[in-house]
Order: sequence, then structure tokens, then C-alpha cells
Amino acid sequence: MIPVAWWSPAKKDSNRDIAVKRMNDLVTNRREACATAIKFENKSEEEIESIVTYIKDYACRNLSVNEKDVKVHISKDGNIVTIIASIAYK
Amino acid sequence: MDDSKVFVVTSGKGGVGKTTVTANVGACLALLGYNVCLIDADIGLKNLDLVLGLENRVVYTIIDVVRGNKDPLEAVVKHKLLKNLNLLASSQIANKDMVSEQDMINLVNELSKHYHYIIIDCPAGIERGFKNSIAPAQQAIIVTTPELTAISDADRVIGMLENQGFSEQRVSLIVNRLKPRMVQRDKMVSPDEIKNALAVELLGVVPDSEEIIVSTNEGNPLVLDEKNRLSVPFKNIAQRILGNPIPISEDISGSSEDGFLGFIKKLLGRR
Repeated sequence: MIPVAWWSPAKKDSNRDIAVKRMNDLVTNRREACATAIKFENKSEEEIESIVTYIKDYACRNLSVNEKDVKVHISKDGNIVTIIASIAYK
Repeated sequence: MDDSKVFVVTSGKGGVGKTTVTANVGACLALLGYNVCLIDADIGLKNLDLVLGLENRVVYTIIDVVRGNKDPLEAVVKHKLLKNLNLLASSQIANKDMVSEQDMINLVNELSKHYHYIIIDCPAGIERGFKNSIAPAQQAIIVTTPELTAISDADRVIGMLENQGFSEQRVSLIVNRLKPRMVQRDKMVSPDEIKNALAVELLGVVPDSEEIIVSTNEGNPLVLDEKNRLSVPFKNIAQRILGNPIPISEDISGSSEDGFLGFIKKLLGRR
């Protein structure tokens, strides 16, 4: 028979502490990075560059993030250009 | 009206109190003298008419307006006690696909000529109904309860709003059904902790109360009862919407009447 201890010297986290930790884990997953992809066809280099600049400016202005936390990745497949913007939240 | 303001009340999760918040905040603004129009965007699962006690007065719905059968002003219904509180009801037999984002934008553009405040009661979920509801809104009010399931969904909705171009300044949070005694006993997350986790401004805190059920049964927003303690947080929220900085602590002051005194008051049925 396993003896059941009615008192443990180890301090147990309160129910609220557990909830706060789980809550922060839940929301941090999304807030750490948020990536969105957009596709264009037949765009010139200048137009793509202006779109990238706009994305960075928009993120800095409206999402309270630094420019270095906004990563914009461009990939080309024929005349289709895919731009992936990844924004890291603090 | 040039200075008309359009709010959407959303949450992601169902059953957190979006409709109650919409009805009571709308009623508070109407009590302050503003012309208010509430839009029930929960097509197929309408509730706002019930909370306002207007279910028998609704003749035309949002679907009649979208189809062009009625002008928006012909379809809205006035509240029985608050004549400047109006409702554009939803339809129970229609479905969400019958309304588009552009329909909602056109509808709100028309209504904003006549009302100071338009509050859209968003359906649960993040599909078509959600997108329709947020399309015409200038400000989003996220309602959550202090439960992880609701907080997680609220976080997802905030992310979607940000993707739709809502800046931090356009999103605020209401923590509904807070049990202050549970927070004191370390058994519930506090509004500040939720605010910090979600990183949005706190617009108000509404304590948990059985009186919500009583007011829904009667079909009257509880803020119409001046003696009702629960009217205080809703009135404070309305003041904050108007730009008056009321401390959040005032929302829950006097709400935690547990213990022996609270027990006696409950026993005597005192509000």
C-alpha cells in the first residue's frame, strides 16, 4: 500500500499562478511571430520594393514594432512574386 | 452624422456576454442622450432583440435591408423605454452567406447619417459573420471572461483584427464575469494579467452576477435600473468611450459582497 502524505514541504503553485502561466504560454505563441503571405503577378522590381517599404512602414506605424522586427521575404516563380511578411512582437 | 462612431463587439468564443455588453453599453450611451443604433449581426442565431425585450416588435430585419426591400431606417425598432436606443434586428431563418462585407459597409454608412453611435453585435466564431461585422467598424471591443478558453480565442481574434488593419488604438478589452473573490483567493486571473497577456487597452471590467439573467428574463437592459450595482461598470465603460478616464478599479468596487453580509443580503433578495 502506498502511503499518502497529507502534508508536503514543497510549495505548490496557486491555481491562479498556473492559469497565468498557461495563459501567457497560449498568447505568446501567437504574439512571438505573425507571418502573412501575399502573391502578385507581373510586378516590376520598383513596385515590389515599394510594397516591401510600405509593409515595413505600416507595421512600424500601426503595430508598435521596430523595423528590425519586420522581416520581408520575397520569392519569385516565373512572373508570380510571393512576399511573406513576418512580424515579431515583443 | 459626421462624428458617428462605429463599434463592433466581438470575442471569438460564444457565450462570453457580447450581446449583454452590446445592449447595456448601448443603453448607457442612449441614457446620456446620444442616438444609438445596435445591429444584431448574428444572422441565424439572433439574441439581441430578446435581451432588449423587442422580439415582438421586430417586423423587418437586416436581410430585408440588404435585399433592398426596406430602407435601414424603416427596419430599425425603437426601444420601449429609451426612445433613442434603436435595434436593427437579425433574421432567424436567414444564413450568414446572405450578407457580404460590402453590404454591411453600405448599411452602416447609411445608418451613420442618423446615429451618434452604432454598435454591431458580432456572432461567435471567426468566419463570414465575423468578417462582415468588423468590415464597417472603426473600433473593436473584445469581450472575454477570465477563463483560458475565452482568453485564447480573444487572442486569436485580436490577431485577426490586426491582420485586417486594426491598430492597437482601435482595439479595447472588456473582462466580463469577473469573480473578485476568486481573484483575491488566487483562483482566477486578474483583469490586469489578462490585459498584459493580450496587450490591449482595458475598457472595463464587469463582475459576475445573477442579475444579468434576471434582466434578460425581463427584457430590459439592467442599466435602466439605477439602483442596480451592476449598472456601474457599464456606465463607466460608456464614459470611457466618450473619452472620460474613469479608473478601472471603480468597476468592481462594492461588487464583492460575499461572506456573511453578502449571504444575508442575498437571502433577503436585496440588490
